[in-house]
Amino acid sequence: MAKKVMAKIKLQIPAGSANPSPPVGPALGQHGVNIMEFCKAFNAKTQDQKGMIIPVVITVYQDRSFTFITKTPPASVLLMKAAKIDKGSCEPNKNKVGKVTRAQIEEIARIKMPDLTASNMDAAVRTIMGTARSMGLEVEK
Amino acid sequence: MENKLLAINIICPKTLAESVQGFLFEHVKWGWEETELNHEINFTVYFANTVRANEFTALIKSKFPPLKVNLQQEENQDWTESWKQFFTPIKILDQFIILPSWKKNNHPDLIPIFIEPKMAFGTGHHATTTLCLEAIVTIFDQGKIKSGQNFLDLGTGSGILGIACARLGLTGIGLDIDQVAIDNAQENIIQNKVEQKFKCIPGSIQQTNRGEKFDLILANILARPLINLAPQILSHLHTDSKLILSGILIEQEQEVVNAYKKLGLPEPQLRHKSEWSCLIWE
Repeated sequence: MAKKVMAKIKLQIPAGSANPSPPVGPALGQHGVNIMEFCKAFNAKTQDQKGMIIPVVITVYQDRSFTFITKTPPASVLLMKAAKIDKGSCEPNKNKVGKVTRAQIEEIARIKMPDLTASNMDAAVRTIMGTARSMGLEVEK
Repeated sequence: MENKLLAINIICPKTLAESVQGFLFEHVKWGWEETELNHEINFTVYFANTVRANEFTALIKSKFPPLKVNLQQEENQDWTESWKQFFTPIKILDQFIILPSWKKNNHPDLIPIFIEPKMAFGTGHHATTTLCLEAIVTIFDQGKIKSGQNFLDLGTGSGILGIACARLGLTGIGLDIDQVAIDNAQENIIQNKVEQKFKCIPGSIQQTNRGEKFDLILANILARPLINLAPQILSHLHTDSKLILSGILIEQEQEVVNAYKKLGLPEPQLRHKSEWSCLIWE
């Protein structure tokens, strides 16, 4: 397969339920990507993550064939969801805006593991704790 | 379906991007597009309803006052169909016409090859594919390959090259390391009714029987794997075989030629289209 990239498109769409309506239709349609084929493949790959919005990067090649990779949602988004807050703190050291439990941190680390450079789960947990602190979240034991 | 679509563009500095994403996760359950600009990210959120679009614009402006937010009206379309306009028929010399599966062949003088454009490479809309197809037609017209001979299509993708050979009466196998490509190739083989002449198998050249010889080997892959696979490809050629290599940028051409000459092949014929080169040993 001789491939040369024509476009890279990043979407954030609901796991397991992508369809040709916006944002998928306008984003892929203008590049001539087979939209139903993308939706089918994306939904098959993400059906176990229903309820989440998943970042996906679609690479379109010169002959309009394509590939895609899915990523995990940003750690900050998962933390905000866990702490039930809309926004992190502007002054995380002084102004705490919410709390998350150690169990929630571990769950987020498990979800984020494929996209992290952490070599093991302990390292991944430490990374997520760092993100939580930088957002002004307290971690309960 | 509403005729108009409202696209709200939220231009956001990268430092604020995660907060905006958090907001969108809460309020835009149907998803959005993200485009990286220099130091900013453009989040595009679509609405079909003006009232909801205005409410959303007001809400995001109140939550993130420094952000640039603009509303743009676009034409709504039937997106399940509109992408198809890009797949126009492609004529290959006076022999073939490549058509997407939904088009009728209006050229009875040409052999149609129907391709379902999916994820696999080889929709026909790429210079490397047309170079290979033109090479096949040329050497067939010159009588250098004939109906009844056998072929190997390495990196078959959509199966387009193998289907062309099968339509000329040759029999062969296609290999691809990508199962998505194999599935698409099978679909195209059935659509073109060449099941008896062309079969696709997942894997690389190791899948072929040791010592098996082919009258024609086609490989539209990339320069590096073509160089690495040179000894194995050559082991499947006999003295009168033909070889067509594609997927090579013109700047990589000499390196590939040298790799094959080093193993005893003569200088190939060269065909170029845009920045791509096709090497033909006929």
